[in-house]
Amino acid sequence: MKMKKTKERSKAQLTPLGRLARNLKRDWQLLVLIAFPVAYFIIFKYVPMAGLNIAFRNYKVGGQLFPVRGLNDWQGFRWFKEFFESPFSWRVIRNTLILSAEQLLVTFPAPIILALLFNEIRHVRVKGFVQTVSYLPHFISVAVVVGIIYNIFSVNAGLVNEIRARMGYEAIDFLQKAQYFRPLYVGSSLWQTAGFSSIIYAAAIAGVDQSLYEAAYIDGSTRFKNVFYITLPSIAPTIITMLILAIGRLMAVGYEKVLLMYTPATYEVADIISTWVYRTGITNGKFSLAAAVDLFNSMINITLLVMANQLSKKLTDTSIF
Amino acid sequence: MHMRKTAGDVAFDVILVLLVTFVVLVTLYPVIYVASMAISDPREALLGNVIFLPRGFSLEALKTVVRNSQLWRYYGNTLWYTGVGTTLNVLTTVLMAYPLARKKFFLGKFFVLFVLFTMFFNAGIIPNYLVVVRLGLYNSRWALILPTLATAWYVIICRSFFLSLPDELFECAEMEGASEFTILGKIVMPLSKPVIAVLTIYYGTTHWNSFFPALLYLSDKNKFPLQIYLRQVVIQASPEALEGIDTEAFGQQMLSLMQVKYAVVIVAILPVILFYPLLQKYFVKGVLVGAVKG
Repeated sequence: MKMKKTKERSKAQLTPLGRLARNLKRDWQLLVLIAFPVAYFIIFKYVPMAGLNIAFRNYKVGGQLFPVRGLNDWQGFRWFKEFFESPFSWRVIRNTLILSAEQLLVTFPAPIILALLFNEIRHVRVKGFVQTVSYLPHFISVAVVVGIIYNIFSVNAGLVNEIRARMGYEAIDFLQKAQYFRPLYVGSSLWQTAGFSSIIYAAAIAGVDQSLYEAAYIDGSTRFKNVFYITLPSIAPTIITMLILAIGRLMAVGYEKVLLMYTPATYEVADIISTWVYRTGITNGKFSLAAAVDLFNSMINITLLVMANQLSKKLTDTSIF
Repeated sequence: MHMRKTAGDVAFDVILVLLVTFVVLVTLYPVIYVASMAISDPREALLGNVIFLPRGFSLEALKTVVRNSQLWRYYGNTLWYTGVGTTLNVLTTVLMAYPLARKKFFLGKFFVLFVLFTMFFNAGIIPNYLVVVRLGLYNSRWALILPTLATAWYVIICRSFFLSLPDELFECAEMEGASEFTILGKIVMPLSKPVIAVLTIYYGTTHWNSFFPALLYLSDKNKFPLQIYLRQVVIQASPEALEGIDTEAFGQQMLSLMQVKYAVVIVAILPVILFYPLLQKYFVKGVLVGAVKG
């Protein structure tokens, strides 16, 4: 007992440096293990974050990425102003918001509906088969998905136009017409994500207390009513968590698919912030301007995430941080 | 519990069957249609007679694609990126996750935040691109591997799995005087097959399907992955991409060229479709492991 006390005191009396030395001696092997991945995260994640300083400078190809040789090209908020004063800023911001919002409205409820639907299948093997099939599109690459869209909606011999021709309608070049871009984009996203995103809700449904259904059955409830009065309310916390995450990603709509799908003819609705950043920065070499706009986009994302989280905390006691 | 079947229950079942059948059909339709187009008789395909199942049968389009040496080069490149990339991904992820799962590690909490932060804040395309270029990786195969060695989300998934292993396992090993290297290599890894499988599948499909980094960092055609080729042939319909395809070999080249687009898609997704039934049980596991602690 006495010994323990002295030991505790000596622990408390250790200087910060002494404590560090003790920790290093104890954990050096863990530090060896973690060194490589930490180096990776620093070089490829944190160094680029520091590289965002070019958003406030005038970075030219071959110039210094970090102002180590003196800061002589400081621009302050020049690029942000330039972007907001350009005629394209409103267009890309509006397109990003509309595309994301449409995407969210269509693709968010779908996996919940699918999970509820699959949950009602009583035959275990049929259920397994249907679920497996529904996950498949998630594993098909964007390039293939857009390739399939191009094949099916092509103006020459595409399936849809063949059917239109049979019915006596003129062929439509769906991929070159602005009004079809969003429906095609959102529709294919629905196909890609609905099944796989249902997994999380299926897991939540599996966790619902079965005695609730038994009690409802005795009370004469129907399966249809159970879906709305038992299953859906039980998975509400999961739905809210997923909604917060989805809102946090609102402005981060995937540029890969847009980049593959759009053509100059559809820019007016298809050009979003991230594709604009790609063309301005990588294609046209205006790195500072592009980095500034990207930074603005990230800031909005984080703000949206925090706001959605706070709101949900207040309204429903569910939050992710 | 005895169930009585009321008229309402029967109606419910009928609607259920209809809806589920609809979902399955909609999901599979595009894939089946593309496959049907690829193997139908070229005339039927061009006349637009193929709506769902193949009409007539011809392997000419697939043969044309398969005979193209350029395609095999891209296929080989994708295999290399997927193989090397996934191996290094899993290695890096495990090396990061293991120390974070050791409760005694004095920097554990700090490094968890260090990893999590990258999940919520990303520098964006431009700074990432400039850093990769500055490191001399432009037009290098490693540009498709090194910048995406580990993803925060998968590190967290892997850590959650390690944390779920019993504490006694680590305590016993320490008492026996085992080093951390031994604990990780000899005790933890053999028990971690499920999470390794999950990581392999997720990183593997990401590499197989990735096209944007190649677009960003590669200029040498000989290093292109399959997805870039797919984009050129199917989406951009670039005639240049079809070079090396022996169109003289058969008379109806126009017909076949149209079908080639469908055949290329089939060749690109075939490995995914073939491996899919074998691997599908791990997909669900991956999502759920992540959801518990995430």
